[in-house]
Amino acid sequence: MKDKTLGRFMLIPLMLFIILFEIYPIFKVLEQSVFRQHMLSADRTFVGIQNYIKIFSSSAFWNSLKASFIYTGGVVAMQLIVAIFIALLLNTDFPGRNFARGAILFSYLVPPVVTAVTFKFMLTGDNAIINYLLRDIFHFNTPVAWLSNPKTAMLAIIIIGCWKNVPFMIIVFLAQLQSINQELYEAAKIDGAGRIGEFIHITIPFLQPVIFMALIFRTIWEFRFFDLIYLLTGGGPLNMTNVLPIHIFNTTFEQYALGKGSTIGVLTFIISIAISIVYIRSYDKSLKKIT
Amino acid sequence: MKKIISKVVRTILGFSISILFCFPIIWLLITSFKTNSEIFANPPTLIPKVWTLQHYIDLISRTDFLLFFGNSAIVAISTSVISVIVGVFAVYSLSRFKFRGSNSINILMLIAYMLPQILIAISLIKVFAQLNLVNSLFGLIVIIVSVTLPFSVWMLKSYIETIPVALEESAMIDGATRLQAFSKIIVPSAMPGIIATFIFTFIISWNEYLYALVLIQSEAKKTISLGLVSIVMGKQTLSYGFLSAGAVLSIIPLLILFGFTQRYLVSGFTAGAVKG
Repeated sequence: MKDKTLGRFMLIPLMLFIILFEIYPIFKVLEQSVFRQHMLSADRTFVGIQNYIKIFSSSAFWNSLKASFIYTGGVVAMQLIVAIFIALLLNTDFPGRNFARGAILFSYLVPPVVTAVTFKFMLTGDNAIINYLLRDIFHFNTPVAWLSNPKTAMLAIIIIGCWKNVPFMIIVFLAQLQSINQELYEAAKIDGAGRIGEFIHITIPFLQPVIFMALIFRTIWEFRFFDLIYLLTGGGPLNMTNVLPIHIFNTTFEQYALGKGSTIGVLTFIISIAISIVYIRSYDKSLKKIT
Repeated sequence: MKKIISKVVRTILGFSISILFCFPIIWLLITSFKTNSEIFANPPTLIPKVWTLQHYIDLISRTDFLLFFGNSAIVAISTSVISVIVGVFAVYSLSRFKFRGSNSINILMLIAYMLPQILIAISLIKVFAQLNLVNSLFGLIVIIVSVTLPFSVWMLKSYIETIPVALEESAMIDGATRLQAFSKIIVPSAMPGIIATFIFTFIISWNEYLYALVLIQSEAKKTISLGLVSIVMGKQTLSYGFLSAGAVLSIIPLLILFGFTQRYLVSGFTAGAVKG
């Protein structure tokens, strides 16, 4: 068999996957979005852009959009700050460092179901451990029902989301930090740069591309994330945490409106693409500024 | 002196952060050994006054927990095997042969990453229903591959691309076919990466919730993500002891994988990140 043909053959399964799980779904939801169809039936009526009009004029959609932006922005920002801090810490040497590195990776492993169950347990009720610690040990005046209080639910899921996914960022930053040639730091010391100078002129420029990569990947990922938020709050309370993926889920599987659900899905996807383009453009611009 | 203070501070910080990160799971573990009444004790106890294995015993003997566990195992192993095999073939092909569409494949992988799972779910649900794939483990395996395959390709890329082409070429000059070069040289060299990818995709598949939620309806086919919830819903009162025992058991396979191959995982992340 000719060499290149074998190469093509090896690629076929992946191509199959791309067609089935990317190309087809995109076209299918586009198609479904211009019909009105009940989930459990096979009949549907063509409604053109009516679904889009309905969605744009529904406050639920804008509420979900807002929730998505707040959640995504909040959780990515928090992850970024925490990850840089911890990565810098783990990059230094201290007893127990390897143990810490393993311990921190831990939360990435835990299934969303277990995470949700655990945090719900730790946060609900007077005797829940977190409330107990905050109230009786640290003497904060704490709200007790974190996840069912409309004012605190979003903050709670942001913190939990950060806990769950920050290890990924930490590892990526740590790897980059560890690849920085130590000689650069030595040279800087000889030149008289202080710790802060070192940080600004060596560490940050090296981290920048990785930070950018991490930001864009995390943002896209958190924007479309469903499992953990749904399990923690179901989109409530009072739809405060009803991010777009949950809104799509409820529209399709609880209200059984396949057409409308597809419409929201299409819009969500377009927004994701828009966010990526904005990111890439702004990164290109900042690159041009440096050069 | 400054250095010592700095080290002490960093050690304390490192320790506190580790505890902070592990705490929820530690708390889960402790709770699973407490009696029901002690779970809600005020003040909460850090170390159980009375240790009990009853939750675990009840869980295994009186619920379908083992069934759910088995389902999750079947699905996770299958998805990982498929993802790794397809991934290795595809990455090898893309890195050794210069096809015209190679660049667009990268873009397509990125787009796959951007597609919300729920969108894929609602687009495929009708087709799956027609093909009788709804409520089947096979259907679940197929759709979860859509999540794990891009990951697999992303991870394997850095491993396979760094294997020098000279290795295969010298083998082929010595008379080996492309396929033999692939199986006897590439695959063994990339084995750490293959193992890391397998573990990665296993974890992702084991933790999958949404697709299981959408696809599976009958108790017998539920994976652990769903089963855990239904075990608890089925009882009259919410038993956190039960729930925590189930949660602990459901993490154990992941902990074992993690423990055996932590170095693989870390190198997997970093290889993909620094190169990719």
